[in-house]
Order: sequence, then structure tokens, then C-alpha cells
Amino acid sequence: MLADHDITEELAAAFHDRADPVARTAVDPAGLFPRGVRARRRQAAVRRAAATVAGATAAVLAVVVTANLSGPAPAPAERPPGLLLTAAVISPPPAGAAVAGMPRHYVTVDHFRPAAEIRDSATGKVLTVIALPRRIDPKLSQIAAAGDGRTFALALFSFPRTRFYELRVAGDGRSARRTALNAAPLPPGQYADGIAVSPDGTRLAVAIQRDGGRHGAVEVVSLATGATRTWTTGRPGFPAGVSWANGRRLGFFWGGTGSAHGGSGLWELDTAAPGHGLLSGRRILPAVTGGDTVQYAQLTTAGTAIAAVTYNGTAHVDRGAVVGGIVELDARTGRPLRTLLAEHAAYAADPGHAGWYIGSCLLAAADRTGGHLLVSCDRFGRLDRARFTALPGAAPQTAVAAAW
Amino acid sequence: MAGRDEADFEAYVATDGGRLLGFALLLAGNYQDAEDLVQMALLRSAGRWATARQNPQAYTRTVLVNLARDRWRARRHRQRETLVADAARLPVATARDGAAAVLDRQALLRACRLLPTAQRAVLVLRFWEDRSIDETAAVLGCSAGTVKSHTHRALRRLRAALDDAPGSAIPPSAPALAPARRIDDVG
Repeated sequence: MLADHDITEELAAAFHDRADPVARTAVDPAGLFPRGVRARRRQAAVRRAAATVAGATAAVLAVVVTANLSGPAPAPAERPPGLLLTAAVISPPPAGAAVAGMPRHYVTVDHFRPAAEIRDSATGKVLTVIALPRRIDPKLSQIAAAGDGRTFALALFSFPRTRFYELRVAGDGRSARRTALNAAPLPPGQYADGIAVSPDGTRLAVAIQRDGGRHGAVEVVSLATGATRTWTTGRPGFPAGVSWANGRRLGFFWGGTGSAHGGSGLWELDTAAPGHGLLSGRRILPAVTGGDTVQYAQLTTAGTAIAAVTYNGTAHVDRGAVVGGIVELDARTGRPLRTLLAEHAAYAADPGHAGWYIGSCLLAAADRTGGHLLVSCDRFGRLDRARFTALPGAAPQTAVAAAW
Repeated sequence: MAGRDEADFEAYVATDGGRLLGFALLLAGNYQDAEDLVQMALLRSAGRWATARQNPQAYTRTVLVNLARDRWRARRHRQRETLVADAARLPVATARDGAAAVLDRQALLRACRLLPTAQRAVLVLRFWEDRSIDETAAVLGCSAGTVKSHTHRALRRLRAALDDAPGSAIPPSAPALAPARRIDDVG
């Protein structure tokens, strides 16, 4: 049996072996300070702009929306040569119209502690904190909404297995009950990278990472019987999330590795068709499209896909260019329809250096229709039909496991 | 005033930048991610220099740990990150003689990569930066008790990994989950 002292001594030595040479290198601070200050000011400006927009009249907004939806993309000089991010940036509708149909609650799983929080969608106020098993690794938790506003599925990892649960929330959001789902735990060595409940609430889809990320699979579990159907592929990579388009079509975001990297993107699987080939369906959206990189995308029941996109910095970028955001696409053709939320470059940059300022919007959750999103960009918040409302409880650009 | 702030910031980076990079390297596990983390942490610290300057070492490390945590969560949205080590590469003692086992340092570093970010940060702060429990708690914005429990759990998991037979998965450090049905009512 190794004593703590043995381990800490060797650990300290290992740390010094690894990091001491690096610690002696000089970090060039040139330009960092003004960049940091500009980024900070930009965030403040975005907040002020949001407040201004909120004061505009509905009539003016309606005109702007119409013009933007039908008008051409802005001049190329203002945009990098991406394809997805050239979709028109739409102006948000009035608040009342934007939030129509918004789920009453959303649930987040904190990755610092084993707890889920039920929050009020309008204010972000915590209604209930649900204690989860202390042994779970919070950062590996996954959550999905069943779509009725009250039922959620949870995937919780406690070494060495991932187990599945239902979280049933009271109508007022102030209490909840967690029960085990009729779904077998994942075997050791397999991890849930995303879950989704079918629109009728009868099936659970699970995106699975296997073999240390070398391979992946998608499982669909019948929650009535526990019967499981699995789709796999021999190609290296794994699915990073699943989403239902309807009771039959399942979307998953495939991240290929090695030679299969080119196959990355949003794929569609017909769960009623015979066969078990994971990549036997259609790729709706490649992960790299022109100068744009799709970080994550999912299907909605409205026939659209929602994608978090960043510009990959292959060409010069002017200050103010759209370099990232949340884009809505036609799920049939993969064609971008509109940019729901745009991130703008804080300063000009040459090829290869664009990553310095790209904030990388994260798509934390989408409701079934794709009309209401939880995103984490400059700030965490709701994106209701392109109208952003900041919500408390998560730091900017924090990847939150959330559902509504 | 701004010029003085910038000069102070640059002086801090010149003094602590290398250590910060080393810290990030141990946290992230690879140089590329470490550089990214350091750049982002320094940019954010620069943007909030009025606050950060009071204790820039602690501030930048706090930001860096948070960024590293976010990267874990964001793995499904961004670059692929493997969640489990290759079984054949799992850490094992290269030679064993009871408690005096000679440990493979590379294997130990790989085992650290399997720890949660917070636990890894605690180990790096305590055993590479030689910070006390209280100093570590101040950097991470948690209590001394949390630092102790993180340290204890991290060492327990490392020991479990190192005590395990070669080629097998890391043994469980915790009992199985609670009974399958009706786990709790809240509210």
C-alpha cells in the first residue's frame, strides 16, 4: 500500500520535471493589456446596446426584422469568408413575442458540485436545488428535457458507470423527485456525451464515447421495456450529442478523429430503418464549412438545426466582423437561414490569430422547437427567437449542462 | 494612469508569466492548451486589472482554473477530449516494493489527467507551487477544508490507480450508487 507521502513526493518530482523548464520561459506581455481592456469594454458596450435595443418600438423592430430577413448579407469587407456566418443577423422581436411559448423552468447541472438547480426561466432565480449523489463526477453529468416542462432525464457518472434517472419537477418548480429510469447503466469505459428524450417521451437516446474516445455509438432505449438498440461504426470518433427531429429522425454531432476527421458534423439517423451503421445516414452539416467551424449543432422539431459557429481565422478579419454566434439552418438542406446571435471581432486580426478574440458561443440547450435556447457567450442567458436575455448563475462562456 | 496600469501588468507578466505557463501545463496536460489558457487568463486579468492587481498571482490562477474547468465541460462543443486513458497506458508502478514503490513519474502525470480539474489544481498548487493549504484555498476561492478534502480524494484516486494491476481500469474509489428506485424527494 502506497502512503500519501510516497505519492506526494513523487508527484512533486514529476511536476517539477514537467513544468520547471516551462516556468523558466518568458511570456511576452506585449499587446495583452490593451486587448484585455478592449475586450472588457466591448462587453460593457454590448450590455448598453442591448438596453438601447430594448427601448425601441415594436413597429420599428418589425420593419428591421423584415428588412434583415429579406435583405442581402452585409458587405464582404465586414465579414470573414465563412459561409454559415454570412446568414443575415436578425434583429430580435419585441420581448412579448419573443418569449411566447418559453418553457417555465430550466434545469442546470453544476459541474462544481453534485447538484441540479431548477430555475425560473423568466428571471433565472433558483427555485429548487436538487442534491445528486455525492459520488458522481459532476462535470460528466448530462441532462435532457422531455419537452413537457416538468420531466427531465439525467445521466450521472459514478465510477465506473453512467446511470440514468428521471427528474420529475412539480408544476411550480419548487420540488422534484428523482427516480431511476428503466435503462441499463453504461458498461465501464463508456461515457454519455449527450442524451435526448424522444418527443413522445418513450425513448432515450444516448451519445456514447468508447475506448478512450477512439470510438463511439448511439443507443436508443425504450423506457417502457428497457430494450436497447445500438448503432456503431468502425470509423474513429464519437458522437458529442443527440437530438430528436421527430419520433423517428435522430440527429447527432459526430466528431471524427484521425483520418476520419473529415466526416465530422451534424448527422441524421433514421431510427426506424434497418441496420446498425451509425454513419449510414446523411450528414446535414459538415463541421467545417468554408471559413466557419461548427462547434456543435442539433436538430429541432421545427425542421431546423441550431449551430454554434466560430470563424476559424483563415483570412484577415476586420474589427466588427461577425466571427461567431448561433446560427439557425434548414435541416433538410443545411443552408443557413439566419444568425440568431452574433459575436463581433473586437479588433482586426490577421490569419491565424483570429482565435485571440473569438468568444466561442456555447449552445447549452435548445427547446424542442429551437425557438428558445440557453447559450453561454459573453454572458449566459436565454436566446428567445434572437432576443437575448442574460440570466444569473453561470459565468460567461461557461459550458453548463442545461435543459428546458 | 492607464500607462502605469499597463506597465504594472507587463511587469507582473514578466515576473510570473513563466510560472503561470507551468501551472497551466500541469493543469491542461499539453503545451498548446496551456498557452491558450494563459493567454485567456491574462487577457481577462488585464480587463479587470483594477481588481486583479491586488493579488495578480492568485487572480490569474483562479481565472485559469475556471477556464480549464470550462474546457472540460465544453469538450462536447469544442475539441475532442478523451475521457478515459488507454487501458494499456494506465498508470502503474514500474517497480514495486511495498510502500517504497518506485513510481513512474510519467504515469503519475497521466493519472493526474484523470482527476477532476479542481483536484488537479489543488495538487499542482500544493506540490508544485508549494503553497500552503490556506494559500491554495485563497487562490481557488474555497475553504481550507475543501482543499484538504480535494487533496485527500485526489491522493486516494492516484493511489487506487497506482495500486491497480497493470492493464485494468482504475478501481472504484467509491461504493456503488444508492438503490435504484426512488432516491430522494426534494422540496
